[in-house]
Formats: sequence, structure tokens, C-alpha cells
Amino acid sequence: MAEVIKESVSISILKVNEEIASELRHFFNQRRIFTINLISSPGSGKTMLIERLLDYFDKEKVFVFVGDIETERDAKRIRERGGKSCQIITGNTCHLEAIMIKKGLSFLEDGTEYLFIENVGNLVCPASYDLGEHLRISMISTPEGDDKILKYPKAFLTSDVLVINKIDLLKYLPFDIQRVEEEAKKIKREIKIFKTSALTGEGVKELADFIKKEREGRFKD
Amino acid sequence: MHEYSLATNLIEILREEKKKRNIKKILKVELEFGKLASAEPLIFKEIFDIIKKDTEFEETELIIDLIEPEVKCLNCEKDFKADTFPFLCPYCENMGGELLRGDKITMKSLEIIKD
Repeated sequence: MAEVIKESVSISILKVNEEIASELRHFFNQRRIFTINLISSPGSGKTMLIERLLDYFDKEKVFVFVGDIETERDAKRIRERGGKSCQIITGNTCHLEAIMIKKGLSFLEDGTEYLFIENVGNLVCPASYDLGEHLRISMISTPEGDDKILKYPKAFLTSDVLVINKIDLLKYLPFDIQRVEEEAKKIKREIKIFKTSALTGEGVKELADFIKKEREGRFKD
Repeated sequence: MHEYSLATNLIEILREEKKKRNIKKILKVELEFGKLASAEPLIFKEIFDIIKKDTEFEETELIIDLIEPEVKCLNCEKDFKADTFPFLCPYCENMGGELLRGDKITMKSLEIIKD
């Protein structure tokens, strides 16, 4: 009779993603490509925010990966704005995984300094997947309601920045912006908060300046 | 809602370990499942039990141990258990804190028959 043995192991179920993410981080560091992972619900304005951000960067030095379940609509929007982009169609997957980013690397051009990754619209699953990014931004928009931070805490716990978008609509909505800021700080004391309107452009320059400064800090000579 | 993708990862890891460790059969696999892993353990188990049927792990039993998240207070630096947000330190009532464990799913042990 064969012997039954119990062996102890310690293997993360996300092992493959973690390994590829660390390869990606190495790749980005070597080429000094500052990478930003942007997470939010569908419709809170990720693509429009990136479109607006592009105005403050040298478009030749920025590349955008856009994750969606279907269609190339968002990548097309970025290109129509003069940006460089590549659509990642995930099929059934509700988040981007490191392997999908790895497959997109061949599209990056020499001289790229910033890579924006627009995740699939979802405040849950993307929080668990490291994409090798340097900066994680989670965003909510005012029509979604001011109670979202504590409902989807992991996204904000794992983020460096919270963006509150569509602030141009504040005058029409019962949205307590102070509540959102307080709850975000309760989840993560050091989280940076930016208030923007991708539609009017308000607050977008401040966010762009912050991202540039973060890159400078990361890749000091 | 990414339990399917996680269950597929588990099958892949089992396949790799089986090869690496000269395993004939995996009878049991034990997972530490963090309560803040953003996945639902019962759904995960159900999916694993469905997809394993098409693999060599049809008879592998999945054991899930739920892990209470542990947090380090950034103010008094004591560790405490917390399974809800925001993390509130029971010692000094400071809000926030650094998550030490409880947000991951980790394979802890395998019960096997060797070749």
C-alpha cells in the first residue's frame, strides 16, 4: 500500500501573476517607463481623464494600454486625441492580469516615459492584481455616490492616489466630498487625494504635475 | 468575481507541483484563504470542484482554512485582528493600519502519494 505523505508548502495562488509583475517592474525600471494603473467603476471617467492628462504631457512619450471586456472604443478615443494606445480585450476577465500587460510590451516604442494602464471598469478584482506599476490610482466619480470608499476598501487600501472625478456635478448632487476624503484617510492615512473634472479640466493639471514629480523621484539620476 | 481564474491558477500550480515533486496522486490540498482576498471561498470551492473533473485532480479534496486579517497599528505599533474596514486599533483607537496578512490565498500543504 502506497504511503500517504503530508508536505508543507507555501505558494501564493497568484504566484504566476506576482512573478510576471516583478518581471514587468524590472522592465519598466530599466527603461525608465513610469507606469500608472488606473482603477475605477465603469463610467467614472477613466478614458476621459487620460485624454485630459495627455494635454499636459509630451504625447510622443506617453503610451496608454486600455483594458475592456470588448471593443476597441477606448483605444480609438486616445488615438483620436493624438495619443498612442493599444487595446487589451480581456474577453471574460473582469480585470487586467500581468500576463496581458506583458503581451502588450512589444507595442511600446523607444522613448516612452509614461505608461498609463486603464484597467477594466471594476472596483473589486483589479485591486488584487499587481501589474508591475509604480503608481496605483483608484478613482470614484460624484454620481456614483459618496459611500463607495468603505464598500470597496481594498481598491483604496492598495492605491497611492484617490481621484474624485466629475466635481463639476457637485452642485447638482447630494455628494459629501468631505465624507469621501475622511473615509479614504481612514482606510489609508497616506493616500493622496485629487479632485478633478475630466470634462472641464479642473484639477487635472495638479494630477499631471504630481505624476511627473513621482517619475522624477523614481528615476533620479 | 474572479474565482474562476483563481481556481484555474490552483489547477496549474497543482500540475507544476505534481511534476516537480514526483507525485503520483494528490489526495488533499489545503489553502489559507484570507478574508480580505477579494474572493468568495465557497464559490471558489464550487468552481474548483467543477473544473477539477476534467483534470488529473478529479479526486483531490480542497480544504479551505479562513484566515482572519492581521493589522499593525501605525500609531502604537501593536498587532491586532480585523475583519472589517476601516481598521480600528483596539489598544489606542487609531484608525488605519498596515495589513500584515489576510489578503492572500496561499497553498499550505499537500497530502500526496509519491511515485
